[in-house]
Amino acid sequence: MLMRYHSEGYKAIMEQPERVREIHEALIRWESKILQSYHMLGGWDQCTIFEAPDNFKAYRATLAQEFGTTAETEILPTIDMDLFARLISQEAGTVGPHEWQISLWAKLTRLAWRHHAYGQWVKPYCKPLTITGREKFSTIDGPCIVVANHTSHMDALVLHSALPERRRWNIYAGAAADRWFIRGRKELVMQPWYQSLAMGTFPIQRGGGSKALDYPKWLLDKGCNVIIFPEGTRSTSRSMAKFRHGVSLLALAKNVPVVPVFLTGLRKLRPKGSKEIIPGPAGAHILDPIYFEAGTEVPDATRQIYEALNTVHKRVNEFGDEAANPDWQPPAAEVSAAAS
Amino acid sequence: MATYIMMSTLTDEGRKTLKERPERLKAVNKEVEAMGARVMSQYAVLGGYDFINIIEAPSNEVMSRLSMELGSRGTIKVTTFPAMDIDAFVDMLKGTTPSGS
Repeated sequence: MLMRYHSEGYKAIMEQPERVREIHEALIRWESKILQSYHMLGGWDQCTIFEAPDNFKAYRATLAQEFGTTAETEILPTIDMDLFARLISQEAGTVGPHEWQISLWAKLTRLAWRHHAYGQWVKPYCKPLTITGREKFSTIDGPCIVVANHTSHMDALVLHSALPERRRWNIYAGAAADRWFIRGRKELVMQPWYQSLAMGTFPIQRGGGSKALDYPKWLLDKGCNVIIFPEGTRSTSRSMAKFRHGVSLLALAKNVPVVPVFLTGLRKLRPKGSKEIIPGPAGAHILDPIYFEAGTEVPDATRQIYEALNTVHKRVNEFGDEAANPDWQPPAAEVSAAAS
Repeated sequence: MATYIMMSTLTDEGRKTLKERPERLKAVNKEVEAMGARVMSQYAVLGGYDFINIIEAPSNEVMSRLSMELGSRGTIKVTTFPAMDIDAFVDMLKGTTPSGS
């Protein structure tokens, strides 16, 4: 965000220099995280680089801040340079989806490679790994869509490990096509065929519209289960990002339940941007399946899914990761305060 | 080292070059370092500019040379602003640092 002070702004800052930080406070109130901030000489006075849940909240912060009448602001949404480089180099094209990934030989291969693809990343690093609510799947007869909050590359690995064997055998996870399904990658784990075969993932084109749902619809038609992270990318702020509507569109079109799973601890194990994994506690807490009534509107369905996960998320924000466990009880002081 | 914020906008030729050779993005950073400056962070942005670069350079002279060198290629237009960390700016206004006393 670029800021240019009005004359009142210059006067206010000279009197109270701390007021240059008012915009930071406003952004933090709107769930943003300040990364860098500079005072500038030239056509602009201040440049603040921050992460926000979405563009609207960033804009809202500029309206809410008390400094609004003394400066003008311009928000420039940013794209991570690595992602930008990948996006513009996509003339090489992406590969997939690979329908063969649901065949018996592919499932058997996946089973044999499970340790290489998943196990070696989960057991040694997630210490301990707490899984609750596995029994929730026993009430579901047909295919389902599993959704989870997304903060780390570890999420898909842990989520997969948390599922009952019957679901793991036949489940496929949506992954960004521009990251995991680019043609011609050299590293084994980045090769699209490895993703489809060993990891059981399928490509989702970012911004691909309803066409991006054709393949997961086909998977559900074939009786397969599907994993989707409805935030669309790994979140770095304290709140979950706005959910995309893809999961709701799929669930309503195919009349399948959605199973929310709240993951904890994984941002600390491997935060976004880090290649190092730091061992630590992690959790996967499976919540009640959500069945949508006939005629449910897509935004309402998305809201239901968001609320299911956000209820746990708010508890975790307030009390820590252990609050995601369904057996968790608030501290006695909190209970008595609530009762009084 | 001083801090500068360089806003850059791609020209038509620059867009074409980047589309054909996206690896140029990383190569430019190495060239910046060869000229004595360092790219601290870099973002592609939507809006009036295409990129925002936070750069450290030893002097205005180095930064001017860098701006001229990059601008002379015809692929980008650059605007460079001297900058200082906001905490240092507040300290300076309060007079708690030598430059503000």
